[in-house]
Amino acid sequence: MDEVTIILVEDDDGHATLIERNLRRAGLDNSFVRLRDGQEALDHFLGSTSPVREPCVVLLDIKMPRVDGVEVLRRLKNDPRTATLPVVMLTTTDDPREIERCYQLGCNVYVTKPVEYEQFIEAVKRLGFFLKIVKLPILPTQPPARGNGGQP
Amino acid sequence: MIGSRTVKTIFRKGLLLIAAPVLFQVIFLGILLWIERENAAAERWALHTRVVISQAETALRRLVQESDRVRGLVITGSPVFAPDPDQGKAAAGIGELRRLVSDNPPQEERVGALQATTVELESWIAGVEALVRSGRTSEAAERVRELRGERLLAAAQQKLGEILSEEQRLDQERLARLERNRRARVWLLLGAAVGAAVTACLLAWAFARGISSRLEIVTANARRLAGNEALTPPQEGEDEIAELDATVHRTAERLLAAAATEQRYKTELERRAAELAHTNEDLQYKTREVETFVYSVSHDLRSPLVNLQGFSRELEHSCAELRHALDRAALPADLRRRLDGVDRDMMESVRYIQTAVLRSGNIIDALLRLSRAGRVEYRWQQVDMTLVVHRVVDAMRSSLEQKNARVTAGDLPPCWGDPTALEQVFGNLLSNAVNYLDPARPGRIEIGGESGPGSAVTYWVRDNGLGIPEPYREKLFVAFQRLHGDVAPGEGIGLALVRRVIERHGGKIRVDSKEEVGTNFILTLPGTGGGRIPAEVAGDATFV
Repeated sequence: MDEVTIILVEDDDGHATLIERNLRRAGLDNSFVRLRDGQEALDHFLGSTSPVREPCVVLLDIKMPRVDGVEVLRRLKNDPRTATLPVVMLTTTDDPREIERCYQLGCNVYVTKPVEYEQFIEAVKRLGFFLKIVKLPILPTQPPARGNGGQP
Repeated sequence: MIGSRTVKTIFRKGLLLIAAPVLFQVIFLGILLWIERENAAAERWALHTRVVISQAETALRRLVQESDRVRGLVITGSPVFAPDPDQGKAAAGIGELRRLVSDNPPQEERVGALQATTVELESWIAGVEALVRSGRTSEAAERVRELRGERLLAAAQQKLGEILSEEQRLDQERLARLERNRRARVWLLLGAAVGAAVTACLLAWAFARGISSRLEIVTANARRLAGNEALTPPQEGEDEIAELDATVHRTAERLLAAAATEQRYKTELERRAAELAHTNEDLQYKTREVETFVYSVSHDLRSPLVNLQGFSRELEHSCAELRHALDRAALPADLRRRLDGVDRDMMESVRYIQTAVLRSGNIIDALLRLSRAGRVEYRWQQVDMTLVVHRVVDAMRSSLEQKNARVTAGDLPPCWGDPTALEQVFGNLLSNAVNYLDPARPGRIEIGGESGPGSAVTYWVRDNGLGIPEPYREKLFVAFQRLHGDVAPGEGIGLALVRRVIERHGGKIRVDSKEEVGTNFILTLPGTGGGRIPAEVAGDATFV
């Protein structure tokens, strides 16, 4: 679990701070990378000088300037290098259609950001629990194989 | 009037058809009458001839008698042969004869000559008689022997014979004429009959030809009129066939005008219908736009609320930590008192912020739910309403028990709609009924339904709760209007949501209520009969 980097794609600084603080409070001490919008996320994962080599989990906000989270999810899942990355959608929307669309595109978990603080903590804890479960399949398969294949 | 004039025209034609044979018959009758009169005249003349002949013969007989009597007197001297006073003179009979033949001058001349001879003979007879009477018998005999009397008689006889033969010739002539007339009459009869028949036939043929050919044109025009084709040009003439044709043409014009008017109305109607459809579409589009706007705004408002709520919690944590540190720290009494005040104020402020944020969050959630009710795509199907209501009642079992309320729901007819949306409708109506029950009496809620009217299905949710005062009923289905704000929590969008869903189903909802007796929500939904999608929803796909 400790080797897994949590990559948070979130345009709202407050949300980012709250998510990080509550994840830490829930007992996670993974390394944290904050990306400010969808375009930064695309550059990070799919850019030519992509620094992503370590195992990671993506926390994706949906409503973001430039490129939104759904588009980032679509691109990540369409690219063989990143298709197996676990993606957690983090959003204020609880529109069933949007949830369905995200699951169809291949997101692993969809968490709504609740206004109610207790629910929010619960959601983040579930997220941490999820991260502990999914760390095993990530390590041997995704980053080394794809990373080596992708590097000249 | 045109009508009477044209009727006269055709009447004249018909009259001509009858009058021609009648005229023939009249002429024929005249000729017949004339022939009859001719015949009568001929017969009268034949009789006349007979009278003349008889008269002449009587006169001759008289002369012969007189001659014989004188001869007897001379020979015997006997008074037996004295003149008969009853017998008139023969000359008088001749005079009568002359009067009879006065119309025929040559005959009259002959009779005149006869009369002269007769007078001479009679005066000779009278002379002989006078001689006998005076006793000069021998002288009388001498005179007889002279044979003058014989000669005169013979002359008279000869003249009479001429007259008779002339009369007989005339008689023959008249008979021949009668015969001629008779034959002429036969031919005339035949001719007149044939002529009348031929004329009548010819006239009838001409009449029929004139009328029927023209009538045929009118009939063809009438047929064209029925078949909506172009008519031939109007017929010439002034009779009623021309008038009929003109009427047919006028009717055609009227029909054309009526068709044009109809077309105009139709076009106008179509234009209006299109306008209406467009307006309707526009309205639906605007409703969608508003819902999308509400959705997007409330969604955007959520993001800062997450921060507000989250950081107020953080602040709360910090306050607790600060409190903890303060409790442990050794501080002067007055400073501790001041810091306690600050801490209390801070905690109070945080609580207010949290309450406000919670409330804002609830409002935003309500708005999102409401806008979603208009935006979510329906899965149209036959909905088992008994099952839907059963699920709703099951889900609310705990709050029903808590409120000591009993729900009765029989078998409900199915309807056509989206099961999830309808479950929401009945959930809202039921929770509405439960929330506003009268605590003074045990709650009774009845859910029922029946098919009709038409293909629609009617359902109702009836309670014995607080009831809704008349002035509030209009606002009942408007969002964020709460009547009993203190009775139950909520943002007051439940019934607005219900109305929106029912509207999208093409149904209707209304409410019957009496304060302190109860409320009855009655809703109609499309039945399963047609399996159709309501018109309001048909355009949905365009906007979703």
